[in-house]
Amino acid sequence: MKLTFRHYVLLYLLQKCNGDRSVNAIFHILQGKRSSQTIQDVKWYGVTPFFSMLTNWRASSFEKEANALKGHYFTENSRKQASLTTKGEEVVTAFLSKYEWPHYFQGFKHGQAAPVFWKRLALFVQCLSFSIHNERSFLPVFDDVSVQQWLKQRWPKSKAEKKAAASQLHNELYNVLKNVPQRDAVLFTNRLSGYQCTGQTLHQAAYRLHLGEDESAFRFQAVLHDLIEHAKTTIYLSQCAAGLTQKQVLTETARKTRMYLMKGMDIDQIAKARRLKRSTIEDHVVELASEEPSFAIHSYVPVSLQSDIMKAAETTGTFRLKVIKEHLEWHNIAADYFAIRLTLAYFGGSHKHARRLPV
Amino acid sequence: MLEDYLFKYFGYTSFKENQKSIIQAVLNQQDVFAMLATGSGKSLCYQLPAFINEGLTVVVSPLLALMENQVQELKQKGLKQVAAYNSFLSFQEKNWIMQHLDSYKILYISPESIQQENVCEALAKQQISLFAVDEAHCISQWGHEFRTDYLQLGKVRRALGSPPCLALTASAPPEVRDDILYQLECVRPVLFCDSIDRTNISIEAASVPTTEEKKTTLLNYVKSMPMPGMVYVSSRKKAEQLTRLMTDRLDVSAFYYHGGMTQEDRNLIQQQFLQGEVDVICCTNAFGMGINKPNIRFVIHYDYPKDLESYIQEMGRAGRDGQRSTSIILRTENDLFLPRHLIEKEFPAEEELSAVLTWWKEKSRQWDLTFLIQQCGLEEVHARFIYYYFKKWQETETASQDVDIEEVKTYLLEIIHKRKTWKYRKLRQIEQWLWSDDSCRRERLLHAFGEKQKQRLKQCCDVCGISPLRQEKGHADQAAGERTWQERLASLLHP
Repeated sequence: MKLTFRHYVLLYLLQKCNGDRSVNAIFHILQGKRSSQTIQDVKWYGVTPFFSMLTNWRASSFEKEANALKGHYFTENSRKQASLTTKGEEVVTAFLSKYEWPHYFQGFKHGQAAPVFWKRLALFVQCLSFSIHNERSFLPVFDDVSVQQWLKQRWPKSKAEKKAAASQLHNELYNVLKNVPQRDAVLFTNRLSGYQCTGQTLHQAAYRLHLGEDESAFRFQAVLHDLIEHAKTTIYLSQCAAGLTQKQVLTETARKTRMYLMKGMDIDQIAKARRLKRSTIEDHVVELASEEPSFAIHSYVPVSLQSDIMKAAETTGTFRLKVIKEHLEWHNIAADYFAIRLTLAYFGGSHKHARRLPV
Repeated sequence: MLEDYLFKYFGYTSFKENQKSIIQAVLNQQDVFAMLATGSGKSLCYQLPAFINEGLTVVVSPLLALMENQVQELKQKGLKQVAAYNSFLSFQEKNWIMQHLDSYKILYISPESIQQENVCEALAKQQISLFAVDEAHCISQWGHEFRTDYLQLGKVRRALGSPPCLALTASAPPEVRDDILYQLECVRPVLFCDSIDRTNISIEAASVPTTEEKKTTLLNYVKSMPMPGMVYVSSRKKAEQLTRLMTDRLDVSAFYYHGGMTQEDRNLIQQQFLQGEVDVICCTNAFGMGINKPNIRFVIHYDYPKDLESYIQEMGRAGRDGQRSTSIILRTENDLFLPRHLIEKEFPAEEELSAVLTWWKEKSRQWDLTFLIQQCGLEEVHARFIYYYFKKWQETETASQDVDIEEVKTYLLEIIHKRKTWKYRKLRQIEQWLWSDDSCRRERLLHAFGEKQKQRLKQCCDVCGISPLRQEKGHADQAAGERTWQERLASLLHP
């Protein structure tokens, strides 16, 4: 079996997950599924950059390829959980030792914003380019009314303003691109359209650079993430990113649950009011524990239990709930799954660095 | 003088061939049917009357991109009282247009939108000076891009007070023309028809022994031919495969184009082709509508189209500049299966019909497209078909409130049968034309469209004998890709 980029990424993520997770969990990470489970997975296992990394991977072919990896003894399963074999560990290590990762990529933070950011940026560059070369008729790269409206609102009026904007945008792009691997800069600029040079499709750009399609798609996204990350200190890149980066991390349904919680209802009451299962509401609360800076965890899990749970996770070296629960029981500590999930989510989530364990 | 208006609004000093007579007929409030070659100024035929007349001209147009282009072009000319109304606008944008109808001279609208009650009502309150239908062959049940929404346009026209009607198309054989006029309820229409004969395009059918050898034949043709050119194929996959083949084996830059690509990619490829950055486009019939590239030298049909109308349209993309060009169709005996398969796939199967109808009745669901597409998982074309003809059945006399599924099914199957029979007939027509070598291919093509050949051509067709079209100058400049990224970025954004 000839391993390609996507296989290495899958193997790498399985490795990061310590044999705790199924291959499907990895698929959800790569697809960028915004469910509380997947969001927590990327945080617990420290793989937030990989969130929504390979969105073009179809479910059907994923299953086939994951099975092939198992069939060729790169991975093995114990029940549903998948882990690497020695052979798998070896190829991942070899891959990592020579693979030059992009300068920056952060799928969890910027993956959602990147597609619209690109549409705005590409259209902006194209329109400026034709306009400063006094050419008015061309085919816009994007027909989306919303993107065109966005541009209309910021379109510079006078010739001088257009020239100034083009020059400024040039410098903003240049300053980021000069710091990324050269091939990534080529990949990115080749995709931009303008006067007398039409952008290439991703497929064409990949072909010219002898890159596979997954890898070129990934590296192209990485440049976008880099641009978004640097947008704060710019004029036009920040306009392209405006309103996209502050997207809610919470799923909509979890936000609804939060509203009920703030009204003072408890989980059972909310489940009844929303006609949902208790376990569903629990999922939402776990999500809130992970994402909400002001989440009051002590009102669900006593402080001493929190610290017991985290110690158990550390000792057992896993985030698997069953293992942690059994470990705690062994020490005569009673904890239900909900308490464990909440605690792991809370300390593994956005509070990871902001807070210390209250030991 | 009409020319004064022409200059005032559009800055031109004279009309092209038929334009003036058509515009005069339109201004005389007559119903007009005009079949004009693409690039001969079709749109001016309603645009100029729109600005001369009192009231609003409604233009029904099937293609979003076409609408947007035309609106943009008019606005660039300073003619700003125009708008395009379609389902892609936001709620607010739609409302704004509907509330300001009296400030427009031309409203472009999709056939789907114009049937919405509120839209139709708002329009009915306006004085409609002209009801124009672009790409009118889509109206005909026998046209090659049949869309059920179009079949309601007669009714819509009546609701708008039966304003004068102008039907425009690039290709319609007599039976399609008659159907259009019938559907639009035209009264004593005036007809204008350009000849479909493209005298600067030679026509050639090339026999290939096996499907596999088609590839070699294609490569040989493309290698020897002047650029740019197009290759039409019947499937997305084939478009991609043949592109790879040409790129690997030949010194040309080729790329594919089909409906399965993202809008961004399609726009990029189209623009690259227009700019001369790509030599050969290998495409399905998704490519073409509204594209005007004057210097295409060859159109190769790797697979032959499903009827002669499609052929005329597709080969007609060559040689718009009047220079010598060629159309080549590859034929092998094994080709017979695929087009038949495609026809079968266009219609829902009998079991599918039964299942959908039964389910619908049992659950007593709303009869709408959402149900058919999302609940039943039908392909969109099938869903539209079933949806439309079910509604039509309800209008028939025998239909009762309590829907008899068997009866509906029989009705639908009969229609499917009728339409399939027609399609097979059209297919056999092009196959006969393609496979028979005993008399002039061009003459037989013209005959199918009710025309006669006016002059003998030097480069006519493979039966009459033609000298091959040879390459004179080099291929597209690929050096552009060799620049550094810094140079590329600078050339984009520095004047």
